[in-house]
Amino acid sequence: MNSQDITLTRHIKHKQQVENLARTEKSLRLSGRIVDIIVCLALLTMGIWFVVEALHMPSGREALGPGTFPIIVGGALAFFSLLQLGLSISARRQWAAVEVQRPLWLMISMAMILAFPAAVERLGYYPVAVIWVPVFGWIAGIRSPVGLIAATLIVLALGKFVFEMLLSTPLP
Amino acid sequence: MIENFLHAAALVLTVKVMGALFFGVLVGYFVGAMPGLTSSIGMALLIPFTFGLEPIPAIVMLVSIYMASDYAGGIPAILVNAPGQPGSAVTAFDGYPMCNRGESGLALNLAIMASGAGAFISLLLLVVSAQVMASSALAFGPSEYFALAIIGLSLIGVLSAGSTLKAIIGLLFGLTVVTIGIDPIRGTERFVFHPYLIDGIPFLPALIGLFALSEVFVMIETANDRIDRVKHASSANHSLRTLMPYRRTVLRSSLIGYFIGVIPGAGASIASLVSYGVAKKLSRTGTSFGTGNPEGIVASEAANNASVSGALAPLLSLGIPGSASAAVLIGGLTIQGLQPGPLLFADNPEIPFSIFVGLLAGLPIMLLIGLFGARLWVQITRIPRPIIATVVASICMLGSYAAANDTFEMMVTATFGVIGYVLRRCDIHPAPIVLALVLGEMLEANLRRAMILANDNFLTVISHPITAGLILASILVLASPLFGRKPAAN
Repeated sequence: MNSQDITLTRHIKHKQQVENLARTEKSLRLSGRIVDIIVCLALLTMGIWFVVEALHMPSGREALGPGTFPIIVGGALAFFSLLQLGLSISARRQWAAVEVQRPLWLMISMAMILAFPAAVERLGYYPVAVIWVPVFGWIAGIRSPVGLIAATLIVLALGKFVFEMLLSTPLP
Repeated sequence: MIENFLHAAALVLTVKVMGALFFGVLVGYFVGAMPGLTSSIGMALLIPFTFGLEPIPAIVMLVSIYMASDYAGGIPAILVNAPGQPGSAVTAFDGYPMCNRGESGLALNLAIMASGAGAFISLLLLVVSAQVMASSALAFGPSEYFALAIIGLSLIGVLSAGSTLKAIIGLLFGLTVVTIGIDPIRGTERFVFHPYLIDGIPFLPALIGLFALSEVFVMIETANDRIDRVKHASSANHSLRTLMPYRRTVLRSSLIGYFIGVIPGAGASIASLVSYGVAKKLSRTGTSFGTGNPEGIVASEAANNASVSGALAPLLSLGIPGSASAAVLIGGLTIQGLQPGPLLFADNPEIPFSIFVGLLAGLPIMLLIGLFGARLWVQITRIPRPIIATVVASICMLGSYAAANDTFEMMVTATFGVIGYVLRRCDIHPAPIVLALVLGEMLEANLRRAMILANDNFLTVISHPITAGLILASILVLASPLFGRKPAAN
C-alpha cells in the first residue's frame, strides 16, 4: 500500500465516520399543536404582564399617557395569542409535526451563544474565542480539524484586523 | 433634480465609495448565492462594518448588498434548484428544467439580463416617485404619520408569509417590545427592569439576533442536509439579443415588481409570483410554464429585482420600510445619524441621490459579475454550512458588540436569536417583528402628538382627509382575509 492509498483510505474512513455520526443523530419530533400552545401561552403571559405593569404607570393630564400604548399593544398581543391558543386547541385537522433535527447540538449551541457575552466580559474576547469557536464549530457540524482551525483563524482575524484595526473597536 | 444628481455623482464616483460599492456587490453576490442567507441577513451582518465609514459609502454599500443579493439569488435557483433568496424560488420553476435540458447558459443569461433590466426600469420609477411622495409628505403632520404607520403595519400583517393571525401576533410582539425604555413624549420609564434598558431594546442587536443568529440555529439543525451539486452548468452566454423577444414581459414584470415592492410587507416573493402568474396568463406559450419556458425566468427575475427599488420608495420618502431588508437599511441610516422620510430629501438630498447614483453605477458591475462569474458564485453553495454557521455566529456577536462597545448588546443578540428561532418554529417569522420594531415608535409618538394637538379628541385626529383615507384603507386591508383568499404567501 503506497502513501497515496493510505491517505485515500484515511479519507474514506473519516468520511464514513462523519456519515455514521450524521445517521445516528436522532431528531426530536414534537406535535405542532403542542409547540403552538406553548408559544401562545408564553406570548399570552407576556401580553398580560405588559398590561398589568402599564396599569401601574402614572397617568398624566393627557388622554394618552405613557401606559396607554403598552396597554393597547400588550392587550392585543394577549387577545390574539389567546385566539390562536383557542384555535390550536380546538382545531381537528391533522397537525404537521415540528421536527427538530440534531436537538442536542442545537440546545448546546444555544447555551454557548447565551454564555458567550458573560465569558467575554470576564475573560476577554481572544481567550474565549480561541476555545469557543472550535467547540461551537464542532457542535455546528465541522468534523475536519482543518475546518475547525480555518473557522477559528477567520474569526480571530476578523476581530483583530477588521474590528480592532479597521473599525477601531477595542474588543474586551 | 439634475443639480442633485450631478452633486451626488461627484460624491459617489470616488475611489472610496466605488470601493464600498464593489465590496457590497461582492458580499451581496455571496449572500444571494448561498441558500439560507438572505439580503436582510447580509445587510444586518454588514451594518457593524459601516460604523467607521462616512454616511455615503456606508449607505451605498448596504444598498448594493440588497440589490446584488437579489441578482444572485437566481443563479443557484437555476443551477441547483436551491433559490438563494426567497424571491428567486419562482425562477427555479423554469430555470432548473432548462438547466437539466442543458440550457443553463441561456437561462443564466436571461435571468441576469432580466434582473438588470428590471432594476434599471424600477430605478427610473424610484427616482421620480420617491421625490413626488416625499414632497407630498412634507405637508404631513403627526396624524398622517400615525395613519401611515397603521396602514404599513396592517399590510405587513396581512401580506406576510404564513398565517395572517401569526403574522399579527409577530407584529404585536414587536410593538410590545418597542414600548420598553423611555416613553417618547413624557420621558417616563417603562418596563426598565435593568438599567441597560433605559434606552429601550437596542435595534441593531435585536435585528442581528432575529435575522442572522436565528438562521445560524437553523443551519446547525440542517448541517447534515445536502444540496445538489451542479450537474449541467455552462457559463452564461453574453448576448444582449436573447432578451429582446421578451421585452414586453420585462417591462410589464418590472412595473408589477416595482408597484408590489412599494406595498409594505409584499416583497420580492409576491412580486415574482404575481408577475409569473400574469406572464403565464398572457403568454402564447403559457402552457409550457413550469417546464423550462425562458419567459418564466424573465418574468420572475425582472419583477424580483424591480421590487427592490419599489421597497426603497416608501423608505426614502416616508420612512416606512417596504420589506424586511428595507427595515434593516433603516438601521444602517439611523446609525449614520440620518432619519429616512421627506426631510431626508430636504435636509440631506445627497443621501437619496447618492443611493440612486450608486444603484445606477452598480448595475454594470452587477451585470458583469453575474455574467462572467455565475459558475464561480454557484461554487459558494459547496461551502459547508457548519463553517458558515460558525463564522456567521461569531460575526453576529462581534457586530452587536461593536454597536455600543458593550457586552449587553451581545446578550440582546443572543436572546433575540433564541427567541427568533423558537418563534420561527411556530411559523411566526422575524420580518413582521423587525418591521414593528421600526414602525412602533413612529406609531405611538405620532398618535400621542396628534392627540395633544387635537386637544385629546380622537375624532379630530382621524378627521384629516388623508388620515381618514389611510385608516379606512387599513380597516379594509385587515378585513380582506375574511372576504377572500389570502394573497400568495412568501
